[in-house]
Amino acid sequence: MPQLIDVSYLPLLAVLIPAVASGLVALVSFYSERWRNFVATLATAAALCVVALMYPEVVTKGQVITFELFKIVSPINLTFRVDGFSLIVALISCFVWLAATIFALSYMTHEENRGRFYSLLLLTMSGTVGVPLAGDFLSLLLFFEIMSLASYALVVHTQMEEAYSAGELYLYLGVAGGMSILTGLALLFYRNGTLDILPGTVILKGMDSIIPLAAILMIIGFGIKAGMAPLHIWLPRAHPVAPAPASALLSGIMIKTGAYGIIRVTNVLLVPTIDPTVAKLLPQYFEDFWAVVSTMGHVIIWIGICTMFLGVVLALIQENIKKMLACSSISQMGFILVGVGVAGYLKYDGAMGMAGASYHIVNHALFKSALFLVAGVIAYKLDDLNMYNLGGLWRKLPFTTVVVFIAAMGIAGVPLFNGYVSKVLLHHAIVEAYEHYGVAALLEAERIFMITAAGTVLYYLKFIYLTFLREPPPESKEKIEKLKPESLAMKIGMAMLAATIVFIGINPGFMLESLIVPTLHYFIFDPHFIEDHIVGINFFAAYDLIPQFIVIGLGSLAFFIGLKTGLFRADVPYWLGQEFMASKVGRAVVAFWNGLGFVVLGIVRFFGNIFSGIFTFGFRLLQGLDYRPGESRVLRFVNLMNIDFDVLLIMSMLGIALVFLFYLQFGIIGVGVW
Amino acid sequence: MLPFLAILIPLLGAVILVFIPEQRDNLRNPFAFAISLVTAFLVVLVLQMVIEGYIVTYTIIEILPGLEFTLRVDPLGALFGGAASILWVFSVLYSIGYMAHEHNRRRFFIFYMISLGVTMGVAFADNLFTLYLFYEMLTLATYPLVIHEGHQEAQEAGVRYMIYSFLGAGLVLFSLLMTYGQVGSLAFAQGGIVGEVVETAPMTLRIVFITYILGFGVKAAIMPLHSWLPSAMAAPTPVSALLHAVAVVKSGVFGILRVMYSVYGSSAMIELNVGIIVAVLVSFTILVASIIAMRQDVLKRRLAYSTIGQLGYITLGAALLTPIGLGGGLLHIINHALLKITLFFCAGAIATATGKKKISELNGIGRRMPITMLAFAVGSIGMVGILPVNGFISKWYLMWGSLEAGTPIFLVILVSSALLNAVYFFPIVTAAFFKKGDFEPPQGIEAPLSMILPIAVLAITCIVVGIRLELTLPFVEGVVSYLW
Repeated sequence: MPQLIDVSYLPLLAVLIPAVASGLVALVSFYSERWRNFVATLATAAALCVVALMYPEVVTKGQVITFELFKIVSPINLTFRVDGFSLIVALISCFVWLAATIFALSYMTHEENRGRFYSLLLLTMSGTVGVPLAGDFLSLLLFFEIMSLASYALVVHTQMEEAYSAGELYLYLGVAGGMSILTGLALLFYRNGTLDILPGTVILKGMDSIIPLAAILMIIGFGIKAGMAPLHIWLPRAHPVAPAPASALLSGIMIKTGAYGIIRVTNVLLVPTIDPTVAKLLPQYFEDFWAVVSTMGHVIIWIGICTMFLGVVLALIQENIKKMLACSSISQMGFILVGVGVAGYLKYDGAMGMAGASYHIVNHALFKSALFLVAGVIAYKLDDLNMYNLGGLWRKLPFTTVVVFIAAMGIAGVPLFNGYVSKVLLHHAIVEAYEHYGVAALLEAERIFMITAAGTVLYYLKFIYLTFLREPPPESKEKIEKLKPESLAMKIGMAMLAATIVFIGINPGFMLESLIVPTLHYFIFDPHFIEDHIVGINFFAAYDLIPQFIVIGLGSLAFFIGLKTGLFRADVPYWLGQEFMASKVGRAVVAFWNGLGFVVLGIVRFFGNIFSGIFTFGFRLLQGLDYRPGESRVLRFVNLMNIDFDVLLIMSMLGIALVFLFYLQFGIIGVGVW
Repeated sequence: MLPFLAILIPLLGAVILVFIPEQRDNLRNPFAFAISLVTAFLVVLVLQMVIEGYIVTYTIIEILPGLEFTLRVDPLGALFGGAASILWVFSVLYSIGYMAHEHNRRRFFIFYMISLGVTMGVAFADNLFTLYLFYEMLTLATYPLVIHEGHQEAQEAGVRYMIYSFLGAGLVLFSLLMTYGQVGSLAFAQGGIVGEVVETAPMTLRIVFITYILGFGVKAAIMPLHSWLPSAMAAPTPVSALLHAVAVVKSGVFGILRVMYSVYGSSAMIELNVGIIVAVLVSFTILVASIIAMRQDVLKRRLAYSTIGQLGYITLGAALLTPIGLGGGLLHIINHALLKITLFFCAGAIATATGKKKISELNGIGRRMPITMLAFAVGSIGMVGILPVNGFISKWYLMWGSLEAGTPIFLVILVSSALLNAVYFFPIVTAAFFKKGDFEPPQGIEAPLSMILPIAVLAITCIVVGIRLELTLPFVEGVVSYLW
């Protein structure tokens, strides 16, 4: 696809404004709170405007905006390259960032260290906006690391013990993810000599084992940030402990940079160029690369399915609102990953998956941030986020109730709200994936997809009912009676998001035509497929509406059953509970289990002891090398005349050297001179 | 003449410092600062000439035919000398603040200046003989600095430092004689001097190479020859900073580089296949040092072990025997010097302002010393090798180099070392800012200005060098093309 290129400093500006403002805010906050708030909000809005200014170039004219700066490492410059997909992610990031910042103006009044918070919020923004705008993977990594490190400070902002331990996990996994990406990049660079985010850069030297290895390492690195299934462990701990506006951004926006990276790896980097001459010259390579893309896509579909299901299960058992929302984020990332996977799996015809994924990235950013802001309102007013302690908030906080309804209907996929649109696209995508190759397992995947959607409906109903609709429980009734309405800044922040949700929900085609479809043309997809199946798609056809209503019905049914039977609070099933364990059957089971465990553990321990023995000895030996005379028992036997082991080594080396010198000079007696 | 002046001026300055009485701080401090500034200026002049393609030589005295006391500045020497002399300016400035309340300031500054001169000598040595002489002198010149505090621990550390250094130098002397015997020359040359000896006596050359590495490895703190370094932490912080960041340990690494690329030469190294031994030894050092560092609670000791690991990066880069790897190693000389000196200055500032030396006592110190701890954060990020800070650059080239050399195992070692670095550096920063502690915001400035200023400037330099590759890479490329 020949694309016009336009050189413009706008992407640099979008990154630079928040970064500079970050320093400015840190300075201003010593003098005046009001000016600090003003600078922070203004900078965020300015960044949004700058990103929006790129819209006409990229979407209307179909140009790619590039900008090159100095070298980071030779021969790679710090580059920006903005295509449609970059623009979507950057635009939604800035928009939600502005909403969250406005919300924070009021919310942060009950937190300390506000100057630090705003300063790092802006620095994080600089990194987060930079990730999609970056033109090569190394520049991307630069912004990714800035985001990771700066957002750590947001996670641990409250400085509670819980936040600190969650932050530690966040930091170390973030560093590990960065290192994983870096290793992948090193391999890729060694293999290709370029790290540009363009399709077809890797095809010329053919396929070997380095490329998939590099891709897997990078996907793991980005997957950590995206909360991909086995790597999600940090997310339910780190997202809830941050202040609400920060959690909204962590869960709504920053997590998407992981998905963005995965898309860039599977659907751009690995994809062979569509240039027909290259395809003719290197037909074998061409097929090889598409095969790798397809396999990766297939794996990602299943990772996505696991992630979404796991997220729902985790979300269902949470009592803390923010924890539930964080788990819900994991689940929704699963939806996005399924779209990404389908886009890879179907190779040239995967446009539907990409449309669904990018649409859902936008939608999830909107409603998840809105929901976290709602949780922020509750935390601000009541300082209690346990759903079972709350109730009847709709009387006192009508505005928040409206927002939470809109956002929850969005995430549950109710028609006329935005989540419905992207879920329809994703559903289409997975059905297509099944029909394309007829792999029966994908039919099961589609069922899990529907069950997960129903589960989403279920836990949001539970959340709204418990928190807003039911009568408040007696112990917290008094507190809730005294509630005052939300402040203006909070209302504005939430209203921005809620209004967009409704707008997209009512005009699903507008967003599709103006952002998503132009984006698809930047990927290597069949343009005819896009024209035929995506442009002008009717979202409100019976074919799509009926399954969605079934999903909602199932979810609601499960909710009522759960409500009547009190199943929600049954944290531990009976057969795992203490009573059962005390009974005879229970004891037998436990005894059997223990016996089995004894055998297994015995084997494990046996080998474990051997290994740990070796390691302990080795470790001791190593540490013994740095001991004070007489302290180490392990090495006492070499501690002759109170001389250190290593000095002994040097001395013996000297001795050997001397012996050698003598040998050279005289040779061994009787053998002759060398 | 210029390189000779760069050695002579600090030594003469030291002589003049002898006549400034102990109490005349306001005379001594500016004078010492001026000396270091002039030296740095001279070195920069030399550096400029080297960049333009000249090789500056100056023979001081010819002891025997073929055994000259000669100075010569080639790109490698200019790199080391430039980094050392420029950072010396910062350390003198910092010492002025740090030493204000210490005893024996006159002695301290005298030997500080002598060390500067001798380090320049190490950098500008033309042959192994000259290098060896200055290398020994460096031990003697830094010994009074190591034992400056004068208590039992410092004395013991000093003795250990002496024993180790002299044993190492002894090995160097042995190897030097062997080289002279085999090759008949000691002068450094582009592409090595061993020539056809590679064919005639390869085994001897291999063994001599190993003894060289062990000899210089003492100062370069290759395990298991490292243990003088953590114990030398008894010295005042400006000394440890210099010991670690620039002068002493880097002179060991510099010696290794000289042996590898100016005595043996890259082609002989490849033919003898000795790089791999060093690389294995060093990767062991990198990992073990990081593991030991995690257990250290005294901040300076943790930094010391970090130094041991990071020096391993440099040697590893040289031992990979690819131009890229060598470039990575050389870049790391500069980058590590900047980062480590920043970290040590932070540790010293903390000790001066609050008296805390243990990491477990530093919870919440970010409130008390925000600038210092921000600089420390920058240094830590650089040590781990994360992007905006300069440590990343050298790590990237080392990773690339290890792939070029066809040994991806070193890539794994570099990455795991980076993770270990994160595990022992980041908790210090996070605890400083986010753990509850009983520190109050500072009254006025958080530490003496002459300490905060170098810290801030160096931390900013770390970031600037990290994103502006043009500042370091062209010169390092020149050095690599000269050496290779």
